[in-house]
Amino acid sequence: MTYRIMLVDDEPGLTQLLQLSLEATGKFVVMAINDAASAVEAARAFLPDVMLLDVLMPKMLGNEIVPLIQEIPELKHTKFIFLTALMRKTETPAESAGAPRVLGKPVTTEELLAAIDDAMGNPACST
Amino acid sequence: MFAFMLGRIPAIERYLSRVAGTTALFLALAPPCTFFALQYQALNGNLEAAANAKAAIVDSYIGRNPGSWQFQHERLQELLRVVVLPHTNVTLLDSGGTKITEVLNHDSDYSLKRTAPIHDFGLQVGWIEVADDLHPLLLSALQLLVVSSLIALAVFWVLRHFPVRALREADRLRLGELERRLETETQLRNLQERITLSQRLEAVGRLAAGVAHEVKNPLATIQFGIDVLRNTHPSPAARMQVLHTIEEAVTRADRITHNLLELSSQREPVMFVTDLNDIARKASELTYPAAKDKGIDLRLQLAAAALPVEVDREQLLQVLVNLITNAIQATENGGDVSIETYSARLQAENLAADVAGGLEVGNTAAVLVVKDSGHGLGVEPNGKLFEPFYTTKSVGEGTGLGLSIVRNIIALHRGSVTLRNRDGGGAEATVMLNLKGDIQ
Repeated sequence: MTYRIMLVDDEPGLTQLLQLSLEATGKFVVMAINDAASAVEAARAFLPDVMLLDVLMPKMLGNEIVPLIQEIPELKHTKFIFLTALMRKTETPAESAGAPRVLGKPVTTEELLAAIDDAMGNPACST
Repeated sequence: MFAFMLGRIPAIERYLSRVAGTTALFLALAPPCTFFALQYQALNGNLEAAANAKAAIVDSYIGRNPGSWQFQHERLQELLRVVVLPHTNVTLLDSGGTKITEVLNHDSDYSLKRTAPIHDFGLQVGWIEVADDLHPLLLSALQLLVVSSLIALAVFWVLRHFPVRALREADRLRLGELERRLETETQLRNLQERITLSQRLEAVGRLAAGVAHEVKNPLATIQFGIDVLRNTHPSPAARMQVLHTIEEAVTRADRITHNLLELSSQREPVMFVTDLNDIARKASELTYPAAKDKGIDLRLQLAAAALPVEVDREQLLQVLVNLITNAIQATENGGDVSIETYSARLQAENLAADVAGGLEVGNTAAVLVVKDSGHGLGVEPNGKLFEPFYTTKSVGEGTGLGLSIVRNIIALHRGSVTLRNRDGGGAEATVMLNLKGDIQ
């Protein structure tokens, strides 16, 4: 089973490389969005299982996108993982059920895959 | 009223002690001494009169009993007892000082004596000595001394104690007031230091967060690039693309640190009088390629007359390049950016709020305005735009440090820089500098 992953980050280089990494596993269909303002409409069309969101972006913050997505009935099961440079890895908040995961940049692809597994509750999708 | 005395209490106390002491001493000694002197004088007069009266009586007796009078002791004693003052001894002495007879009424060693001569046919044959006891007078004077001393002591205490107590109270109140004022000033200073420290920490925190954000994003890109190269097997072309992206991230991180160092190590400007129009022309030449790439019409509308300003040419050029680059980046392809210069009389509303010295309302300034037809500044307050790492640009277009550098340089030039949205859309940045020389 393949999962649909949407990357929302204003760094085109980052999303480009992350898309390559994730698609190389053969388990994900990935869409990269660099303009946060268009993320909601793109998600409505793409129907992602997981959204990887940067926090500090021009026009719209990553955490402002989440409630807009959650209002869309087709996306009520979408999971969120924040990927931010505003946080040290050691201060990642304790995760509770249903709350978005937060990863501090820079992060390795392995750490990201583990977070996606955790969010989907499916260790099998890990490489 | 006595404010001039405050703070000099010990000296005033000494002065008051001297005045009170002198007054008390006078009050203690003057009454008994005066009393003693007056009484002594009166007694002296009385004794002299008594001695003369006795001498006249004895002279008369000698006249009636020549040759034998000195042997008639009983008769002489009767004569001596006539009109005798109380407590008075009367003694009859011959010319050699030998006592012939006497009448004793006291046995005091302290007595006042007065004498009068006695005669026999015109020749002095002896003396009448009248002596009165001085003890009663001395005792009265002593009693008076005790009473006057007590009164003097009371006067001394009143004269010294009350004024000093009043002064000490006034001094205590004044010291209290001074202490309260000092305490208030100390508290205010501590509070100001805390606020300054807090603001500094806030600024450091904001700067650190900005640095972290701007550096960690390229680091994340580099990390993912390494992961791609390690975990996948990209074609040679894809591999080159990945390496290029990594290289761009390294360049970006390097640019951020470079600009940060530029911001933190701003050197003092080296001032020369230069025509602002020349710097504007040079800045437009440097930014022309970027404008051309976006099809932006970069126009120069410079003042006909020279605008002499005293500036560091390199630093001011950096200011103009930053402002024009911002304008170009904020403008859509095919838009307009213009650079205008002119001289203008300064008005308060045109100056930046934090302008330091240099420019004064009413003076004539050299003005440079960069206008664009872009998306404007948003609704953020003016000051925030100059904060480090505040940016509305897309990744790769800016580090958020350009306007901070602009503000720092203009502050060093004691000028003013303001940003505002234009009525018809777009934004404009206005730099004002003191005009050197008269070009009216």
